[in-house]
Amino acid sequence: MAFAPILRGLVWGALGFLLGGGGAVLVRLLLGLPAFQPEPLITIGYFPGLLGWLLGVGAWDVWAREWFGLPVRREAVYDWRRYFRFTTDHKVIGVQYLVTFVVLFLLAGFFAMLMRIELMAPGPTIMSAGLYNHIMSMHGIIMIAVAVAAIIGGLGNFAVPLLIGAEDMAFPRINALSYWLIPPVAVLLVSTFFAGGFDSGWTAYPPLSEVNAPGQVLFNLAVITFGFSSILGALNFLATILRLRAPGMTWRRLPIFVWSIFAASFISLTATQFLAAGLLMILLDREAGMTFFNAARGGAPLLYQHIFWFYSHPAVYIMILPAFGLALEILPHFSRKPLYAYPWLVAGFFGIVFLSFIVWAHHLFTSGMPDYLHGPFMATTELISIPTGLVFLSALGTIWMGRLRLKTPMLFALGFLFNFLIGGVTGIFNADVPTDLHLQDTYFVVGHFHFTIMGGMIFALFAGIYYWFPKITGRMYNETLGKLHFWWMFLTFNTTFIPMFWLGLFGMNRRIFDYPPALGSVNRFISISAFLLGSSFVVFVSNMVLSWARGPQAAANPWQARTLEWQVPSPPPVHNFPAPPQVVGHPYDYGFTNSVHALVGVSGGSGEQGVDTDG
Amino acid sequence: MQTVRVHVPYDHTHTRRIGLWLFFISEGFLFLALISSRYYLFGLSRPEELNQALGLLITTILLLSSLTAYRAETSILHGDQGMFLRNTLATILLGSLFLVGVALEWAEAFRFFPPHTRFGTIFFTLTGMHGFHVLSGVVLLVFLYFHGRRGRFGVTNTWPVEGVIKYWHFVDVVWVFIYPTLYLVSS
Amino acid sequence: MDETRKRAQLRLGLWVFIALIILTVVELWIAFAVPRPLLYLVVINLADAWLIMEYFMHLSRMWRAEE
Repeated sequence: MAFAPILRGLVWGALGFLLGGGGAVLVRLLLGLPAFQPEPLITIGYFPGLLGWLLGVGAWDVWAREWFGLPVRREAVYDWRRYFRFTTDHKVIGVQYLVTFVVLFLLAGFFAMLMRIELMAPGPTIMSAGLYNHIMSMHGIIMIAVAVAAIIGGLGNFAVPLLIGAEDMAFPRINALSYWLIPPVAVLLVSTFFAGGFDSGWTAYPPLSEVNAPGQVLFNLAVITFGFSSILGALNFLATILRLRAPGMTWRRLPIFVWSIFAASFISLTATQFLAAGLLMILLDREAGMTFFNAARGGAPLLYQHIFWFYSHPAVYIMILPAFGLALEILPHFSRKPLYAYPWLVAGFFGIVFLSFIVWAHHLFTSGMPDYLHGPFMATTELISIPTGLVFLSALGTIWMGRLRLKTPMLFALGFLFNFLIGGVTGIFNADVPTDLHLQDTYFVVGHFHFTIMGGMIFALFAGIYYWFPKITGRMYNETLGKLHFWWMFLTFNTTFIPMFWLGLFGMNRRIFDYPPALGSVNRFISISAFLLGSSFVVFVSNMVLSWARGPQAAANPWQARTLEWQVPSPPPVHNFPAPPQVVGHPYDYGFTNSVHALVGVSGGSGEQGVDTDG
Repeated sequence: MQTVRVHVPYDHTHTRRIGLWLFFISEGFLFLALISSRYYLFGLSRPEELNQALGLLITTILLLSSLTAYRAETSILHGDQGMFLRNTLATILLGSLFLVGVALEWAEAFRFFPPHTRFGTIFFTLTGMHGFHVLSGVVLLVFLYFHGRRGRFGVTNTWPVEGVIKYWHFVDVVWVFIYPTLYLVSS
Repeated sequence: MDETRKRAQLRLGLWVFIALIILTVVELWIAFAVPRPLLYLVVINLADAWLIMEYFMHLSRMWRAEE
């Protein structure tokens, strides 16, 4: 049966949960505490439940059996059913990630539509203030998850091993594990609806997050799990890029998308632990009566903001670095020119990585942090515009005087540049202490953030999806629908979010269902734009579904691109390359006569470069 | 075009080592977050009620367990099964002894600084998180011991031994930083 | 030959352990004898961590050919 592993995962997960929760009840009975408190039981039962789910869904068969000296069981499934299994093929995992996160993106987009209906007119319209806060929080956290994992988990998993000429990731089973940690996250977040919701936004600031409904506990567990998944993913990418590059794939020949994943993975690997630590402290405060953030007992609520932003500011670079990499990967192929200033671009990436760790407190300018910290954090924040500027100059230098082929992926990459410029420039007003004191917590911040993440990262994601669609599916998408999607989305995106800067300047608070009546007409305009923006994804989804089902067969290399993934058939065979490719030149040397990037499938033999089958 | 065949010997153990070290770096940040919270919440003060003798004792036990772990790894690399088993068992016992020591500490801590005080919060969280790592290390060592008894490790198959024992040393490194953070720092 | 190497390695482990214990005792002494000991403690900790990572966890083998 196709869904047998998933069913088994659910059963084992439920057993684990009952075991853990039952144990907790017993311990509480012995200690003389009230036995049936839902929150501690959920918290304690969750981790054995998660373990049960992972083992049941397939980790037991392909992995844990050998810890007990048993032979592992692998089944060779090559049809659609492998997408519902603990499959270790990076291409399958990439597609699993991509489809999951596109679905989550649409779900969170639906929540955004509900918010915009509420905001059509001042005062309550369709929902209560509390429900609005819950919907807003759900929109926030799911979109953050999409932004963190859609490009890295989806396109990164699919493309990175192909781009570096490897057979698979360094640790294929850890790769599968990091995907199968995602479904519990989605289930937990959706089930907050049955646990009173959570109204503390995706940031979960205490004191609110220590006193609100039990939905907050589910949120914390979900995000801790998600963090674990992204740490494992990052570890895998770093090891893969360090160790599995094809012969001749030197650091100076590495495709730029691989560089960006490499840089983002550093942040993901390290900073994510701070998020987990912060959320764990909230759980300890709530369930074990500790006092990290409880001011009444001597804790310090501001500590949470420091810990949280030590992750969450670098996290925006986890989101945007792969987006840079994706856009810059696409620009040379569709400009028919070499990537401009490649070494400076890589230096820019690492400049961003370094600076991202020392800017976090710019989120705390109005939180009551000591004044002497304002200046230094303003300065480090504004320094980031230098490496970001390098990235932009490289992008502009690449398209300068190029022979642009304005296919859908290229349009999205150019749209990315336009939107991110607005997002980046408006960021300066948030980084400057004097202006930020006025703009903090207004729609100006909302506009800035959506221009960087939606206008930047999501546009790059779509660029990547259209770019690799023929490689992933073996079929070509419909170019007319693709272009329609781009223009529709690009125009309505800008009409939705540009007025938000204006709203912010006029003092409209974010995260609140109500606003002064004078701002009504602008909000109505934004809502209508937002509905149009939302409807543009109908075009996208229908294009994807129809083309995947019955689009024309795609050639191996429809874009005449030089990088390795286009030198194998579409879709690529299970082991990617007939033999390890020989890389002999730079990937982006368009317009140079006799320049070759790699020799694929000619070196003969196999087994020179193995992939771990058991680790 | 002339094709050149380059032989690339691929050393998977080295990849695994890199993966494990990356994991340690990541875990290090988790403890960094917890340790820095101590200074944020409690500054540099040191409660007088801390049991310094017990603190020194469990630190010594953990360091000693690192020595036995090192001896276990060294002996299996030289194919000495008996010595490997003896030292693995010693490491398991010392690790368990450490956990007993932490439990004694907790019993005292509940009296002097319960979890709802600032120092209690830090103390229980740091020792608890570290204790969880020790516990998982002990479980891994038990697996190692039983596989070792069936002779599954030798000069050729040493990665599981190396991995688990590296993890054990890592837990020790973490304690090296936690010990002064909890017991010694003062103003 | 192999046996002497093994002995040498085991002896090295013992010396590292003794060094760690001495450092720990010094740490304890500093904590009670010296005002504001934080900096000294950090330095000793880094020495401890380096000893364990270098000699027990074989950190520098990461950059060197096998054995």
